[in-house]
Amino acid sequence: MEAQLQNLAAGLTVAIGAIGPGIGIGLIGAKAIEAVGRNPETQGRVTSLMILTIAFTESLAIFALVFGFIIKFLG
Amino acid sequence: MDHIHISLPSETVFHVGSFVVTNSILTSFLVSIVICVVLIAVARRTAVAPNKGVGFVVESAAETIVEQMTTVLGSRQVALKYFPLIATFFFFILFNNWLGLIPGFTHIMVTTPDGVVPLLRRTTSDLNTTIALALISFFLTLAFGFKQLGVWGTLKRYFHGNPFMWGIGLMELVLEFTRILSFSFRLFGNIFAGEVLLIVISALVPVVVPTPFLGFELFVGAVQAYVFSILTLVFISLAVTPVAEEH
Repeated sequence: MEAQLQNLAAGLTVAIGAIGPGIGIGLIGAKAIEAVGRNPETQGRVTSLMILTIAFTESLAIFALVFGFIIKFLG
Repeated sequence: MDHIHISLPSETVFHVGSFVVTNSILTSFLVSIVICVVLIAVARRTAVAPNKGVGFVVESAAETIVEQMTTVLGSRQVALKYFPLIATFFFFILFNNWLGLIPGFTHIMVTTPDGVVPLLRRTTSDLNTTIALALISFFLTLAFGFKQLGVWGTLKRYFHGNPFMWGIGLMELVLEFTRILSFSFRLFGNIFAGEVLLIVISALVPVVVPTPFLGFELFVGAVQAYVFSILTLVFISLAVTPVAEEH
């Protein structure tokens, strides 16, 4: 029973932790495309900024993944 | 489902003295040799304007990387200075991601004292490799910053202006170290998840259905190689830029 609960906790940690970054990355992508649409010559600059921002947002989901691994294998 | 073989740590193939040789180490050597042979063969007979064959592919890839780096750094001269590091990251990760997608690559089994294990395994789906890559990226970024701005100039990037705002700088400095974690787990998470997805899908429906997933994994492998190298470059460009003086 306890091992099953541990699996459930690990799964939920990653699942819930991915909600926020998912929304965030969607917003970043939408805004970046909007910016390029308004101002097509800035595409190179916007793309690199977008990837940098996505990386910061994505790292939150990665922390959730790390905690999921910790719960699953070390908990 | 008992025939599905998924292993989080890489498996030991043999020992050299007390040094453990795992299947991911073997793959990384194989990939390094493949890259060296291909690139040296191309570099030995460069043409002025190649228009076909491997030479053309390699030269266009190199030119594309330099152009991408120029848009980030703003100058082609600076881009060429960091080109060796960034291109090495890109090609090493790309070849690792793509080589493991060749059907049958992970199915060569060998018998070891610990049981029957695969001889080869995608290096980037082993956490040890990705942590090593992240450490290289982090400390080289630091070294480039020290070389360009000096130790004092690097510290000044975090502690400048109003002393009451130094707390935020301290927080930023601590956050720099989480980059090691996010770099390594981003690459590892994406590639390992893709591997598990492919294994599970091919176990459920072995014919036709895994094909689009293989195509998707090709795409993910290229994107992850791009993201790793471009992010390293962005952090390098932040580290070598002096902080703007306030007036």
